[in-house]
Amino acid sequence: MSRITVYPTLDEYERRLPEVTQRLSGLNADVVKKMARVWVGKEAYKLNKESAIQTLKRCFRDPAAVRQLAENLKQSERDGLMLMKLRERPVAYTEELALELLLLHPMPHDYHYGYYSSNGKHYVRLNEMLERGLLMRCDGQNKSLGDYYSSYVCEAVGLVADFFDVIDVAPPPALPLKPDAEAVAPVARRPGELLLRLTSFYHAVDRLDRVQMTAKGQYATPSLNKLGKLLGWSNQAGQAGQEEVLTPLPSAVEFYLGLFIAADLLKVDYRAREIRINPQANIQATLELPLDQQARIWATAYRSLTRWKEHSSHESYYYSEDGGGQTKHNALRAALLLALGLLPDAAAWYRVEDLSEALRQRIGRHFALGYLNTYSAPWKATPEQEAAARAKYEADSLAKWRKNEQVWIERALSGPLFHLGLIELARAPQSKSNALALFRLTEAGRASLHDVFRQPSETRGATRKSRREQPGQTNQPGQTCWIVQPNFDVVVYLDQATPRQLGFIERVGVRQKADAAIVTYRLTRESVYAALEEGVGARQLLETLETGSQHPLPPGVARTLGDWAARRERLALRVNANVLEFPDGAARDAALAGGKVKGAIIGDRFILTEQSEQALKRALPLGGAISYEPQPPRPLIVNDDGAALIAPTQHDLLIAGELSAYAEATSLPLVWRITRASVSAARARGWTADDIINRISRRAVLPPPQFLQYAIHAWCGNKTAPGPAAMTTPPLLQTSTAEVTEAICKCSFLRPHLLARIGACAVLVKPESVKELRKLLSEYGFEPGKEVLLPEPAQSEKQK
Amino acid sequence: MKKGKTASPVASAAPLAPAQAKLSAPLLHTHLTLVETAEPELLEELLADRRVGPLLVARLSDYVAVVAPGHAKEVQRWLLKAGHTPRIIQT
Repeated sequence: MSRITVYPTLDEYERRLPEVTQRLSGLNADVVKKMARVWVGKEAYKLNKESAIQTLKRCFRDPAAVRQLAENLKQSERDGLMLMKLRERPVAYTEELALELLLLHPMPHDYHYGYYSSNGKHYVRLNEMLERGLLMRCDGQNKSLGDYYSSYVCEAVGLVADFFDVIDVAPPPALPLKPDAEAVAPVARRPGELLLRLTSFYHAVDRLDRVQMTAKGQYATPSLNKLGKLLGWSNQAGQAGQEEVLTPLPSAVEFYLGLFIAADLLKVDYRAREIRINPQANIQATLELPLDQQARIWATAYRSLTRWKEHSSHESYYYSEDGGGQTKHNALRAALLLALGLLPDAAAWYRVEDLSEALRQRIGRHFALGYLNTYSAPWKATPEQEAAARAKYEADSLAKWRKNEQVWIERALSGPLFHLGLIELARAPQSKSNALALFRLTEAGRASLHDVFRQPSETRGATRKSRREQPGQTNQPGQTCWIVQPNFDVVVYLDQATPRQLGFIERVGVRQKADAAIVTYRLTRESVYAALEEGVGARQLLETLETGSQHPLPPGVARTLGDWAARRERLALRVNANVLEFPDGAARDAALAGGKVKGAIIGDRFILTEQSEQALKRALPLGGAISYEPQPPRPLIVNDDGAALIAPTQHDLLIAGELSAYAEATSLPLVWRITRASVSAARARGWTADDIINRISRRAVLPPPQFLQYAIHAWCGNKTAPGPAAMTTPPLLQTSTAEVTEAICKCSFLRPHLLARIGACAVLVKPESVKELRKLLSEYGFEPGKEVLLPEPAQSEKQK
Repeated sequence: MKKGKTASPVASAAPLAPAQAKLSAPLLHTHLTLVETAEPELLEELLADRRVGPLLVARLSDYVAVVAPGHAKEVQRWLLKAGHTPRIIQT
């Protein structure tokens, strides 16, 4: 039984959101009245529960009430609603929103919240909004998040009313970070590289069709291996360049798989335990969006990414780790992305260490990836002892943060955020090590993380729609970006190629080598054939290659590509076809002429049709329908002597052709015979005894008689079956195995010649039948000898 | 004929004759896999092929043959291996 946990997407949570208001009746009266107080003031306490619910429902729908409430909100609440508005949907993942709120509004240092629940202290600001009734848990419960007695993780929270019109997006105060004036040897992911990765990943998933999942909800290793092979991302140890060492992206296939799922471009089918391309997502259109718009999609997806982590230490323990749900990694990602948006100067270089410290100052006392140490004052301590204990706690906390969370932040910056082209990295000026200690936002990073607080809403709000509703942008004009060489290599300049061109060349060529600026593909017959099979037209193939080429196509390449495409047109394999068979050509022509049947003539008496059986029955006096898959009909009755009879009522189109491969036709149209000659002829054409027996078994009503099976083996020259047989002077028939004796005894035309079975491998024969039986056995390949088959002497006897 | 190849019994057989079928009314055959060629010579070549030939069990015309049920993938694999690039048509 599958142990897989189903995690709804935010779209699914959003669709269920209206139910949240109906859950008010499940809350107790005090909670409902407390929520109502936010909307109608102290009057709420005079209401009974039902009246309070009605008041709340009325307020949720009343724009004036919403506006009035928005004016009286605390800054943390306004920021919480702003963060929801930036998401462009009324639901958000709990972990993300909780830590973002804590980052914007850190709790005072001496705050002792949830002493017993060190795992859930970071929910403190989110819990305030839940208690005030501005947000509701999407799981329908009303407890505080991070409750000590609750190990259940609430995945998402939702808005109870539409606050988006009354909440403005404004940049929160910047983090107190000091820019670094100089950076050495900066490295950045070029847009072309990023597009190549994303495009090649999309096409690899498309070719693979589906990625399997395990019963625990993890990616199945065989699927990952296949995907990695298609992508050519082997990442073999020892072959990575210096840049890959400094900016590693471990488990890149899993990362991009999770990224595409989080971006809603791939869909998890929990029931089938597989991941497929989301049919409602236009991935090509997404990949062709301007890079700054794409960056927002990828940054948001990275924030919600599951089944992948930047870093985990032995000290850390995690919850909801296996099933693909939200974890503390998502919380820290959300905080990190928000912190990058709060840099004082979006174009300046900063130290990674400084960013980590700024995050620690704001969230470190309430959040840890692993177990969170809390400070507790020593019993009856003097002020000096208390100060010493506090200093020790601070030092321990700092050391723990640097060991875990800071490493996590470094890995996040040098891994996903670098590879998604959101930040660039550099060495510090005086640093002797190669470590990339400085970072700054790239242009795409600024657009997606920093400028979102400063853009007008109409330009900001393009991202969610862009994935599904901007097909017009896919028609980017092709530009020259590659050189097609006479040896069929295509050298692609990444900075000049559009996503569409990259997608095209990924389909038609085999990637040979790639670096930051140039990728080389090779056009092979197999790759071109695969592209044609995937729907690339022959003319489109040549035209797109020509349009993108900086020089005319080499004549030999153009001619060969044309030949390959034409060659494909010479031969077709039509799967799952329906063929209508007529008694004669005249009947076929009459049916076509009368318009009763639509289809193509494919033989003297045959029409290839796409009409259903029901439609044909309405148009014709149809004699019946025979289906050949998954199991063809079984019209054959096979006798011991090799006679194969076709049941007249089940005579199908293929049976005669199949029989002709290993049997002989007789004068009777429905009777065939399997003989030594017919089996020998089949054997000469490459058939084995097992092939013939399997073919008969698939089409016969009953399994072929055992005796005939031995005969077929014998006729095929098999020396081990039926094995040696002997006829003794007293009429005794001996065989080497009991099975052969059994087969002979059961054979209908041998049985009249036998007297009795006198052992496992011996049968008495009627004296008058010796000659006839020997002839029959010889005919069927048993070749009986004349010597008595004596049992082999035991080993001890031999030694004597 | 190439070395190592012998003729399939279907190769030399004429298209199925009406006498064999003895149909009184049209009969619908569903879920068939057909091999369609542009030239009769190519079909002859396939029928004579030691690997593909035995899997082609009925010939509907000079251009069309039927694949033995359950062997479509095998035929496709062999065709690719033999250097053919068949167009796969899902009906």
